[in-house]
Amino acid sequence: MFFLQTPDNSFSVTNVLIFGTLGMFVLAITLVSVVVFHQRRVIKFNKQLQKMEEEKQQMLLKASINFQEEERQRIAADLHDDAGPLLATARLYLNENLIHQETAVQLQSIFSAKQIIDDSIQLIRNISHSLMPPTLKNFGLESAMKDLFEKINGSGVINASARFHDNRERLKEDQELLVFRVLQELVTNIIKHSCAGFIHLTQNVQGNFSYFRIHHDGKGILQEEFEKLNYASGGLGLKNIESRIKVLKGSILFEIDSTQTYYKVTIEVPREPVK
Amino acid sequence: MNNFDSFAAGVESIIIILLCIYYLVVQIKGNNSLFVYSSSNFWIIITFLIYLSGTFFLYIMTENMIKSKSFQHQYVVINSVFNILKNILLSIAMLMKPTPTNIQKAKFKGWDNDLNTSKLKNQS
Repeated sequence: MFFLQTPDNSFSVTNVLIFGTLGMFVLAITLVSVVVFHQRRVIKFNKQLQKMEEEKQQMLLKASINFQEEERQRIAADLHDDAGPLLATARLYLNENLIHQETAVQLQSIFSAKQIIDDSIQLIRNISHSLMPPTLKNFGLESAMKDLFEKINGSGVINASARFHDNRERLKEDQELLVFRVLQELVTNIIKHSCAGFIHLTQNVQGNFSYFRIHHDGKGILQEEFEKLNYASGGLGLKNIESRIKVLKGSILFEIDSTQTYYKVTIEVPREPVK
Repeated sequence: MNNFDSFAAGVESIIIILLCIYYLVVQIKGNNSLFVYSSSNFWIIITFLIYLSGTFFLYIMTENMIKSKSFQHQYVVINSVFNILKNILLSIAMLMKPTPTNIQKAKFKGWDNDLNTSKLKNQS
C-alpha cells in the first residue's frame, strides 16, 4: 500500500478506492446470484425428475391395475361362456322327469350329464392352470419353463430350448412366479412379433444374482426402444414386465449380439433362496 | 478518527468473507429442497458478505489515508451506503418467515412435555 502514501496521486487513490469497492461489491453480488440461480436450477431439475418418476409409477400402477382387470374379465368370460352353459346342460339332463323315463333313456341321460361334468372339470382345471401353473408350484421354475418350451416346440413353428446351469437353490416361490411371468411375457412377445426361428433360454448364477437370458433370431428390440415403448400409452405387456422387474428389485437389458444376428434379453434377479 | 488498524480489519474481513463463501458452497452442494433465500441464515450471510466486500478496500486504506480530508469524506459516504445496505438486508433476515422445520418445531413445542407427563402418569 506504499503508493497510497504519496500525496500527489490522491486521484489514483480515489480511483483505487472506488473501483476496488465497486469490484468487490459486484463480485459479492455475482457470487450470491450464482448460488441462488444454481440452486433454483437444481431444485427445478429435481422437481422435474420427481414428477417424471411419479408419472412413471402412476403409469406402472395403472398398467398393473388394467392387467388385473383384463385377467378378471378373461376368467369371468371363461366361466360364464364355457362353464355356465356346460353345467346348465348337465342340469337339463338331470331334471325331475328323468325318473318317469325308461331305464335306457335314464342311463343315456346320466352318461351325457357325466360327460358334460367331466368337460366342466377339465375346463376349470385349464382356467386354474393358466392362473397358476402347477408345474411351477410343485417342481420349480426350471420345470415350468421346460414345460412351456415343450408346448411351444409342439407347434413345430419355433424351436425352443432352455438350459439351467445352476439351479441347485431355487428362488423364493413368489420370485419364481414373477420371473416365470416375465419370461412367459417375453416368450409370448417373441412368438407374436419377432418371427423368430428359435428361442433359447439360459440361466446362470453369479454371486448373489441369478441371470436369465433369452436369445432369439427374430426381430427384437433394444433397450432404448424398450424405454420408449414403456413410456408410450398403449401396450400392457412391457409395462407389466417393468413393474414385475421392479418388484423383484432386478433389472432387464435388451441388446443385440455383436454379430448383429441374435437379440438378447437379460434379466438380473437378486437371489433370495428358499429358507 | 485518529488511529485505525487496517491489517486487523483486512484480515478479519477476509476470514469472514471466506466463511461466507464456504456457507454458500455448502448450500450449493447440499441436497436441499428449500430455496436458499427462504432461510434467514442466508440473508444474514449475504449481509456480512456484501458489507465486508464493499468496505474491504476502505478498511485497508484507512490506516494510511486517515489524515486526508477527501478520504475522510469518501470514508463517510462509502461506509454509510454499505451500512444502510447492511441494515436493510439484516431487516429482511429478521422479517423472514420461519422455514417449515421451524414451523414444525413451533407447532410441536409441547411434544416432549406430553410424552414426559404420560410417562409419569404411567409410572404413578
